[in-house]
Amino acid sequence: MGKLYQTKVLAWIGLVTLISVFGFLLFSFCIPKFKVPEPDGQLYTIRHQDLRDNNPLYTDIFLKSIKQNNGYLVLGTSESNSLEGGNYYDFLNADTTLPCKFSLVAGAGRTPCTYFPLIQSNENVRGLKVLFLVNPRYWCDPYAKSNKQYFSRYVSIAEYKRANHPKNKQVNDILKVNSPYIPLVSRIGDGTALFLDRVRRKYYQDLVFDLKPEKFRKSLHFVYSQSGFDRYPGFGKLDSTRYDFKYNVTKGYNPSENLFAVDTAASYRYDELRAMISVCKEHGVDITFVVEPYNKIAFKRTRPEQIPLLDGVCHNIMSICQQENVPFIDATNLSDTPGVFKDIQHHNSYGAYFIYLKIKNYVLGKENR
Amino acid sequence: MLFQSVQLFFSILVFILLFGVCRWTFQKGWLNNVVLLLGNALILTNIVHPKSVLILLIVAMVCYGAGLLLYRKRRGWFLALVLVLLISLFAIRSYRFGEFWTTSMKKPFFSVEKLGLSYILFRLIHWLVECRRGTLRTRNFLTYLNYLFFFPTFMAGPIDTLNNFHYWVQNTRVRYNARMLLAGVGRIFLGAVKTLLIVPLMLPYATDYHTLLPNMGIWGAVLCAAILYSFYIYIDFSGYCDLAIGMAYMMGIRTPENFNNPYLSANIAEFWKRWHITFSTFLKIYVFKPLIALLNRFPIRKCRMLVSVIAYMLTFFVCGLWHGSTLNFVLWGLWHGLGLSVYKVFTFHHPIKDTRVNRILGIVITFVFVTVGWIFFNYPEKDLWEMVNLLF
Repeated sequence: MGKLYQTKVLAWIGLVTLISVFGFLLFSFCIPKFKVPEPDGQLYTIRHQDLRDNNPLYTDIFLKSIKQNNGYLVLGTSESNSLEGGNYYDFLNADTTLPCKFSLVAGAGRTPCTYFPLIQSNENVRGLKVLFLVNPRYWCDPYAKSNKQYFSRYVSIAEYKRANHPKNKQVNDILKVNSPYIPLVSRIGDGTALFLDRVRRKYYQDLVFDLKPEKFRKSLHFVYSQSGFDRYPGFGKLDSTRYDFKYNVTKGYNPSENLFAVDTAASYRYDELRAMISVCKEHGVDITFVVEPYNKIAFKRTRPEQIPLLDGVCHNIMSICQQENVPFIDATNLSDTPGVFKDIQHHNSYGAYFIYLKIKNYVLGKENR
Repeated sequence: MLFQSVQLFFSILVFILLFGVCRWTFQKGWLNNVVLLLGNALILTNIVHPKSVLILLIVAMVCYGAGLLLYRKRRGWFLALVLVLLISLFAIRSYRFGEFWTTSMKKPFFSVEKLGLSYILFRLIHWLVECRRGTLRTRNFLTYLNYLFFFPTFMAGPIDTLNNFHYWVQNTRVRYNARMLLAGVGRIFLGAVKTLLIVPLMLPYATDYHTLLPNMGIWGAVLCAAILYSFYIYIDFSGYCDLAIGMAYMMGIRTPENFNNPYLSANIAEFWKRWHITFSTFLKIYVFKPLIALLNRFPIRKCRMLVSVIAYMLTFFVCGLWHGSTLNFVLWGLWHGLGLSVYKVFTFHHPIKDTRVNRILGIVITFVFVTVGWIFFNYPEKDLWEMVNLLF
């Protein structure tokens, strides 16, 4: 073994390491908090990690920027991921006739419960205009019940704990169902890890941005300023050579894959929807739901018995919105429109065009009111 | 990786401090064992599923009973039977046969996570064999359990001996001091520098020669990637061992070292005395020597060199199989077996003088030999063929 591994030398290295760690911790208290500047445009999106940990530096400016520019925040699941040829929010942002821009947070499994911590802990959500895409797929197996994996992907344990107050029972019940599994041993180190994360932010955010404020601006992702549909050559068109009209999917997709059935026994998703409405009302969020279509043509050929059940889900979602007096956009008439789906559960760019038209009409109507 | 999250890392630190306080204050061997067992259970159930820990615990208890029987009766056939059963049990779980078994039965016969399994098997073999030999200084159940499930070395060693482990845990004299604690911190720091700073820089180039192809030709890329891989695997594994040994230090337990500048070895035999020391020692004691003893029972014993060559090849065949069930690992094992055999035969006929020039030459040749061996280790057979086709 080399000299480096002698106990005496290692002990010195250990001592210097400990002193350095202690010094770093102490110095972090001397770093002034970075003052977030006023946003000079609407932010397009926020990094997944910052939203998960509710990093105030970014969540504050993200929400503020949308409100100040009278924009909309679009929330959705996998149907709202980026699409070849553009998705509905791309078209909305490209449309110069619209008076506002659209920011986006989306991802598979980003159902309402993943936003509860953000809404509950951030005052900037008050008055925020939100469009929430509801996909009936989540009322089918295996997603009809809570999914802890998805939840912990989008919400950190610390944020879960922060949001889990017995103030709003509806919300709290949903959070409880999603409570992440925290092994006993991890709980001991939880507080320390949180503390260290704050120290890390002090160095990587406050110190860096205090010294170079332009770096903060560079880390922000603004809505694309150039408008117009030139970027989307296939806008509103369908490439029928690559399309399988029999099952209403893109050619090459096997319609027998991912066939799903409505879980009629589970009421979780309805409860989650109601809790979302409740928390939005409580915190003054101006929410509008968009009820997504499902691929009815494919279902007619593969599982026709599911059609009344899926129609029932869509109907129930809209009924809840009506009962709670929350606006919604009904896009379910696209369910049997040929050419609008890329697979059994996601619309394609052509379908996105129709959803864009529906949202556009709604937004124009709302803004002109 | 032992530290699956920052939370777990700090939880382990908290436990280490608690254990330290306990050692300082009470200096009671049995209490050390109890606290350590509690800590091991809590931390391991965090790393692997509690059900797996429970199954391993049952296997450990059965082996404990078998060990006690062996200590009293010392029957060779009984030891062989237990070892065959034990190794089969682990092999079923670890290799493809096990997957076939479990999928064909639909419902798994038993389910244990693979994490750390082979190291547990080593410790169990050590326990059983040494019980029969009667060399163990303790047969205390708590010490035995702690030895098997000692969390810093649970997943990837170093493979300790029960006697050494018992000495450091049971010792009531004040061996646990500030210097050892600080040395542990220093060792963890070195391990962290290796695994968190150096390894990520090397990883993309070391493990795949394709990443180097845009900058150089195929020969250059394969050569650079192979050399980088030699250093990468050493730094990564020794870094992990630094973390494990450092944590054990912090608890006042000295586990054996696993590396001693292996790339400064002047021959392949020396390399295996400096590389993964605890594993090669294990192979020597529990595979190589018994094989030699077995072969010496047959007429072949008259040709001692042949006995050594067969024992080397078989030992390194086992070594390759242990690293992985695919052909490339077996090839890697046989490559080293062949290297050792050639070295043994060569030095028997032409003893090498220990001069500076010979040593430097030996270091270079050994490094080249080992690096070629790592190519087998790193690339699955399909990639190996692709590489050979590109090269020639």
